[in-house]
Amino acid sequence: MSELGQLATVLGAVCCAYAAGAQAWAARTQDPRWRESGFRALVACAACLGLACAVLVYALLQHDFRIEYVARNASLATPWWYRVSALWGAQAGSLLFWSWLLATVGAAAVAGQRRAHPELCTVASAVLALLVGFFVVLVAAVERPFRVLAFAPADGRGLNPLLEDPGMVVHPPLLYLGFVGLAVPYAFAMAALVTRKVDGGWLGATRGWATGSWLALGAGLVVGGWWAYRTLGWGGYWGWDPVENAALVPWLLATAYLHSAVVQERRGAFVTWNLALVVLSFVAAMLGTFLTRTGLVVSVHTFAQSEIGPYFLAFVVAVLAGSLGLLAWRWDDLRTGPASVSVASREGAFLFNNVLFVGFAAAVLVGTLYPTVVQALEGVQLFVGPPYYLAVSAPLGLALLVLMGLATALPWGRASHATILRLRLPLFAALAAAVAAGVLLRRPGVVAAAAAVAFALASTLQAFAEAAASGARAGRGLLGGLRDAFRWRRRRYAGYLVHLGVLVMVVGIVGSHAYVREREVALRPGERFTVGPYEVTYRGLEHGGTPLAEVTRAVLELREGGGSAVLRPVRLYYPRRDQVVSRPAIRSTLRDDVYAVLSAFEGDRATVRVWVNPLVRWVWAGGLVAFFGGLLLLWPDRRAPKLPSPPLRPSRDGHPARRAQAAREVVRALGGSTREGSRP
Amino acid sequence: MKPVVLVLCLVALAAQPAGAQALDDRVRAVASRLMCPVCEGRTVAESTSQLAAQMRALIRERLARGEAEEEVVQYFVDRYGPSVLAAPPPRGSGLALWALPVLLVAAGAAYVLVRLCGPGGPEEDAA
Repeated sequence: MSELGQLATVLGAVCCAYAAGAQAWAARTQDPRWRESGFRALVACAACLGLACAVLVYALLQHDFRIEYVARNASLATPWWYRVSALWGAQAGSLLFWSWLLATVGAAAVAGQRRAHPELCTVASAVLALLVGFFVVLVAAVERPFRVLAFAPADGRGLNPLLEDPGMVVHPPLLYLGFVGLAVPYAFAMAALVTRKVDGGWLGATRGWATGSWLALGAGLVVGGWWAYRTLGWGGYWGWDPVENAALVPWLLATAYLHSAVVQERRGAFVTWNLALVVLSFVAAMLGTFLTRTGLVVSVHTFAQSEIGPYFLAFVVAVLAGSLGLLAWRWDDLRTGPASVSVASREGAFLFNNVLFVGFAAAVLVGTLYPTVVQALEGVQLFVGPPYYLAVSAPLGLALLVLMGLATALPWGRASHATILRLRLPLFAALAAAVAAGVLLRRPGVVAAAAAVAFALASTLQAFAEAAASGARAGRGLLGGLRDAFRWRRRRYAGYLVHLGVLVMVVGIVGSHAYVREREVALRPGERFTVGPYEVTYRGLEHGGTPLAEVTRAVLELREGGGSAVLRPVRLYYPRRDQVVSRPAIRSTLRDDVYAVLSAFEGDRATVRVWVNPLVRWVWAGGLVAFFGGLLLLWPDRRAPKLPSPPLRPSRDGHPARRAQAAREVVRALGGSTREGSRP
Repeated sequence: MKPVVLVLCLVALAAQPAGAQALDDRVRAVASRLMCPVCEGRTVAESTSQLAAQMRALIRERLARGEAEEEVVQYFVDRYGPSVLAAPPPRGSGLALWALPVLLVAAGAAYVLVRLCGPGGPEEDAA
């Protein structure tokens, strides 16, 4: 079995080399036969790597403990679905899986575009083949997931118990999909530079892939937070750990790119900047993989470390230097006329959006690398943790929210009097929220966040209300107007839906950061304590076992007002791995989560730690809304009908005051949180 | 203008901590600024280790005794060295860390503003 896997990997590497060579020759000679041959080699490479993955999964399912990877990451007692997910549970397997994903995504992207953009696809598949080739060589020569043990053990060590969770089945593939997806716009951008076709064909050809990988990365981040929250037992979902940051940075850059790409499509501006952003987000994805996979930065969940560091560093440096060099070399082709972009316009707002998102990404990257750099330069050991990231992300996040509200109200081109009218409602909402938060919550940071969220929320809801109102005026009803908006302005309104989801998430994030209550106490059975509005009574311990672990549960009775509930936080000891895992018990409502952890026990005495985390559910709910918005963004385009043009432009038709009045009525009809605007 | 003044007053009021939860919140605030020395990558507030639990108890004791948050933090820095801080202060080795993001964002915003409003910008070639 292992020979077949290794053979398939090596064949995959050979296919890559051939694909790159054939495409390079095709680019030189413009011979379509070489082009076709090279493309087929890329497909063959994906097939070979798929076979290698299948062999490893089969070995995991069959408990083939002669293979070292299987013995280390599976055991007889591991359920089959975790044995499948063990494919990406450790370094060697995840790298193989990653190469297969990259080859498959690359081949699919090229297959979709090779009729429309044959020349771009030639160079792009060469670039993709080189990228895949690097990873396959790492797998085949350095990591070797099919390495065979001299003596096959009777049973394996099993997967790291922290990874035995549904979140961990989904989270890594989503992140990998996001990472490899970013390779597609990167490869096409490189192809555009090489072939001097920088007109934007590459951008249109890869828009779906960019959106898709952005969505996969975002979903991966949220699922990762959900996993951490339910599994790691420290009461939170985001620890600004280097591994998390490594995935956050490319996501931030991809978000910036999605916005600025719209400007290039509509106005032909930001051409060079978009190319640079695509390079940066891909390099950030590679750098993130490098940082977390090689143990260069210390992390709590560096599950996989190995000796691939130097190769990877050379690779990242080569990609960055090569791409930026190419960009500089083609600088003269990128000269466009002076981009006529006004500050007070939507494209102007998108530019500032890019400054903030790129600045955010840079700040996170600086924080992640800083300890390593200072250690190397000054020999001083220091740590950059949550206080830094919170101090940086809070103002940037607030500025982004304000910008979100502004950009939604601003028109393309140039702001007019109507723009100011459209800002009345959001401004009033912000003021109302600030006053309400000032009276009720009394914290400067929370007051600012409430105002910013209300501003962006009112602005976004106003956009939906305007769509509904225009539908009502056209005799299609309020819902008909919304349906029209999603049909004919789908990407814009899907984007607004993502914004709404993000706003709900922000409410949850602010609530769960600003108002945490937490208590840690040692108790005898029958003793009680209070945390926040809850009274917690400790009833005793329950002992049990699974084939892999010794299990101890603390029984906690939770009371608040009339209601009560029972929480059973667990402490598991895995003798085979000599590992202790605390699994929290969570009682979750829309208002707050009660999060209980069994820290330690002795006899029948237990030390428990209980958090009350407000509004955490909003984070997951907002994530879901944003995810559906993202799916809508990916939905294939439908051609807008020539007539009747949906009357969505604010300045074209209707008296502004009447429109604003109609919009307010709709907001009220939809149950929005806005109030009657002040009379001018 | 009145609502704005009202808001500013309320914001000023809000800066004061409220009553009974104050000590818990201050313990959490101090614990969030310190790294757990025995577990990599978790603050004292988050960590589940025994040492972190003892450190939290010590923080509570010292704050209850009337020490300022800064004094408690300094106590731990004296004992464990500056690497116990969850983020370096903005001076010495930590200066660049705090300065870089501010400089980058400011430079980016300034560049965009100059390009959009400066000579050659849209104000001159507006259609």
